[in-house]
Amino acid sequence: MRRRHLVQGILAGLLVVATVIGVMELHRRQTEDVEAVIGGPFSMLAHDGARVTHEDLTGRRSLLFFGFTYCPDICPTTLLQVAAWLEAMEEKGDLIDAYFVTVDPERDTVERMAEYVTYFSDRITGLVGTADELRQMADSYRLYYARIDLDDGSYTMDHTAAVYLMDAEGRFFDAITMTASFDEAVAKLTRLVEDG
Amino acid sequence: MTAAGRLALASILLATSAMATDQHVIGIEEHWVAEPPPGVPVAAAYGVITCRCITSDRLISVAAGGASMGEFHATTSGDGGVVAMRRLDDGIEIRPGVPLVLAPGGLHIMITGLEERPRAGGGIHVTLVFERAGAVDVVFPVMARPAVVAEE
Ligand SMILES: [Cu+2]
Repeated sequence: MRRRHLVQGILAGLLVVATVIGVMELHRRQTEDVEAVIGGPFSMLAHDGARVTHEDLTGRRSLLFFGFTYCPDICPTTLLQVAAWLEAMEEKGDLIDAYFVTVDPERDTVERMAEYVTYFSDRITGLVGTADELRQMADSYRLYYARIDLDDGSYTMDHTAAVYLMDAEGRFFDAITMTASFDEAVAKLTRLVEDG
Repeated sequence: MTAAGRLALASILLATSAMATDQHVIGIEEHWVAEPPPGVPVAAAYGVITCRCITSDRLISVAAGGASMGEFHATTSGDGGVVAMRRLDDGIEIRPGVPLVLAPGGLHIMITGLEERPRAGGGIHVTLVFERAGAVDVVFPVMARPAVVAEE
């Protein structure tokens, strides 16, 4: 009787171990999938007129986020946050290239972008693409954006608000979401500089 | 009744009588407009609105000097970190004693069609129209968005 219990116990234990390994493996694969899908080809104009492509990410650590200049609330907040994180990292912050990419190329010209980003920070480069260039970047970065028309004839843009961190090989390293605290964000950026 | 109990009762009675006499008082505090970056003809206004009242009120419309239109907007973040800004067509309800907070990342008054760029140090005349309290005129000071600082 006692022996049967022992065997059952061992079997149950093995089942738990197998389940844990299975879940861990699934989690690892999902994480790898995300890393594999975010990042890839793009080509846009920087606010100083220079062309920036995915090849410029190689050998540098980068941070990318998306928005538009007519965005009155969340984009300015994010720009100021990114500037403050990089500032807090002192010389380590200089090792990270920060890009603010417009999802509204219809209104955001290179000139407007130049005025806009430099108003907030000299550490952030604005990127402007054509509609096709934006589409390509959105495909590479699994970016969602959509034009929402308003009653008065104007429009606003819905868009992905996460900040993407890319390693020195131009691969996805991590992301900072809107709910991250200042310290969490700086910790992730520090890890990017050290391990990315 | 204990001394603390008497004090609590007294303050409740006092609050009730205050409400009965000041029937419907709208308070607007900590109000400001974020200076828009150059070239952007839209601005967001923030603040805390309270209603010292017995029945709820509703903010139904807004107009701003030097602008073509004012609206109430909510910034929402949904699935996969997608942010969206939506107009609140029915305005915003203000319940008695519950401060209505308009702050970055949440609710804001959206001012569009600005003829001139508002600059920090200046002010914008804003008329807030409430369903019950009627029109309330306030000058919103224009301020640069505060720099983000590390939390303690
Ligand atoms: Cu808005």
